[in-house]
Amino acid sequence: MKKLIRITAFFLSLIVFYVYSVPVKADAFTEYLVNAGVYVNGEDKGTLKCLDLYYVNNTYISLRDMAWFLSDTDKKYNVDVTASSVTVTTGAEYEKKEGDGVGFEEDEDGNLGTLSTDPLRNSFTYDDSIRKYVTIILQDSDGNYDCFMNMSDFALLFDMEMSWDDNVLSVNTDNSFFIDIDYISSLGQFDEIDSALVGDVLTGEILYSSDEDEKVAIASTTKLMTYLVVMNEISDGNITFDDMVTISGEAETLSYCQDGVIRLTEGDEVSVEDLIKAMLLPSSNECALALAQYVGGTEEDFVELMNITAKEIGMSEETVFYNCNGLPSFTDDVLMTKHQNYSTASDMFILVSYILGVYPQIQDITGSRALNISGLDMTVYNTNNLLYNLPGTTGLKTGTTNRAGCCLICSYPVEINGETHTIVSFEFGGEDSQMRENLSMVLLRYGIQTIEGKTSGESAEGEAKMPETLEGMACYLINMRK
Amino acid sequence: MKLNKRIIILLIVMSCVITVGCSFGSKERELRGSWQTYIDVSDMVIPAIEAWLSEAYRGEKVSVEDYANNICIAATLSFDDDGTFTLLLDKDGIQGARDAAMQALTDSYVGFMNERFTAAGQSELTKEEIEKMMMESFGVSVSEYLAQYGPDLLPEDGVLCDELEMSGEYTTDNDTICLEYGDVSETVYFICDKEHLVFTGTVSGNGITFIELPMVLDKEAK
Repeated sequence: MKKLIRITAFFLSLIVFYVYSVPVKADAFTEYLVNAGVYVNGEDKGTLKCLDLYYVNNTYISLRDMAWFLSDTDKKYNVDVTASSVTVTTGAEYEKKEGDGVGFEEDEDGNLGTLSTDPLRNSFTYDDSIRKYVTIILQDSDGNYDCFMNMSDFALLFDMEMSWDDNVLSVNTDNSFFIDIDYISSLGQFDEIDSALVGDVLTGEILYSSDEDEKVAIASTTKLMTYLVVMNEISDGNITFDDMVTISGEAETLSYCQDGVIRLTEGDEVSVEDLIKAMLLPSSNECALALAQYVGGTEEDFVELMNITAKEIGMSEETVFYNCNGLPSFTDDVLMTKHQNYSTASDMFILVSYILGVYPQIQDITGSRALNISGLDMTVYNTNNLLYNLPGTTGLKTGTTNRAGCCLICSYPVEINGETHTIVSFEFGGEDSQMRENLSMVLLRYGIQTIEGKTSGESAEGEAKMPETLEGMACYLINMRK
Repeated sequence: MKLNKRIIILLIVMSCVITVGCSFGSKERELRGSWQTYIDVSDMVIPAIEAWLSEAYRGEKVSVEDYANNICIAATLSFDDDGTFTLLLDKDGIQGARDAAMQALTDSYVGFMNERFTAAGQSELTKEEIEKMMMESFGVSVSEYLAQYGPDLLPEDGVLCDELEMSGEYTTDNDTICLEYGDVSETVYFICDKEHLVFTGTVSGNGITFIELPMVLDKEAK
């Protein structure tokens, strides 16, 4: 019997060794290999290697091929790819490598086949600035690496007019990438999310919206209202940034559960200022709770303040808060009822407009990629990748729950004629973080494109137009003093 | 002798009658003439400033009453022999009130800006410093900006006079005076001498707006 067990164990270990050490062709098709034609400024440049990630037309394109195709234009760039990093240098010469511009090799049946690799947020540097893109790095038969980048990300990053039709990519380097929001909306670009909006805080104008009055779960974007209530208390002189908050048992417990972000200890003291930073940047639920308990006495009383404030600033009846941090909450019953904080994109535009008007300094926090919080003896990192992918972004907040999906609110100030037009985008219900970043980028770029187009011909350094409203004058003077 | 007694008694009685008759008429005689007073129009100015501030975030935090109080217009209250009275605004006084209202608006504007500066994490500024910023940016002073884009604080002169001036009838009874103006009447206690007229308390009435008790009026200098 013992001998039988030993023999069985031996053969099992051989099988395990074989599976993990010998490359095995995956049965599941993860990336479809595609060869596409490329025209640059009307000239046929060759064949572009593409990967359709998981699904047809979810296309990632070869950065090396594009570097070769653009090498004789003013959009040329050099790309260096290693096993885990990508470095792009615009304006630099690119040295062609074997296999560039000729596509994938077909097998004897004329098939290109598939690959099985994982898309990752590989290290990506663009002209010395860090970017956070999902990319796929492959090694070719010569041992060189190539990076495949989502075609949308490529178009938005390199900002060239691009069109794609029946596996042919046409590029016009003389024009910027123009976002036709109505066209992409008609294609259903925003159908897969709950709602979207992009607006100009200075004028109050909504530049585009989709299901903007739809009631949606808002997850951690709730913390923007928490921030507003806390800041109002500071402005009213009821508390100060330097007040030390004693961490409660509930906050400690929350910090140790699956939704915990920063470990807290009951009885420890942390300043209001540090809690605000930790709440906004890494979206600490426990720090939000600590602030709520400090300001309201209890979270319930603080939530009442949140709901009152919402009405005071003009948010509709569709906005309701059940807690201070955006997590799902449950009632205290045998048949417990689950609640989510709800709002609409329109209401959140009202909230963000108020915050950016009265407390524009929030952007000093939310526009930081990382902050050192001395009171917590740690460095916290921003969850908003658009700070990397669209430099100039000043915030504002991510949010993710199963119900809400992946949400993102972003802000991007544009200076025109001495006026600061802060473009804000709202995306609720994205399937994943990559989707929310991509759609938010489209919305923000559209907003910027629109506001710059409306003021085309006006110099960015022109004379400021005197605000006719009191609010406009307040924003102008505050901005002037920055 | 009997005739002399009768004459003396008659003279005494007539003296008493004349004396009483004279005393009954003297208070009303002193009332007749013109008296200087001030009408407080702060309650017109404050809502106008508050409504304008409320259009901006945290405008409601500004305590306008701290800046807009005692904005008054000089007026003359005249009592005539025929039992009529008139209340007329001093035209120069109207401009004075407008100037005071603009000052209140300016102070409220500075107060509001400092409320917003503080909220934005910035230090407070004086009116002069704010004015310097606006002058450098747009070439306008604070008062010029407010005159162009601020609220209307007081009605035009004609409307103001229509609202505040009045004329009617008056009657006196011992230490009370009853003023009647249209459907409105007010009976107040008063004290009067050659220099001052004082309305001390209300007996009854449905409110004549210019009377705020206690009210001291000075005899108009001739």
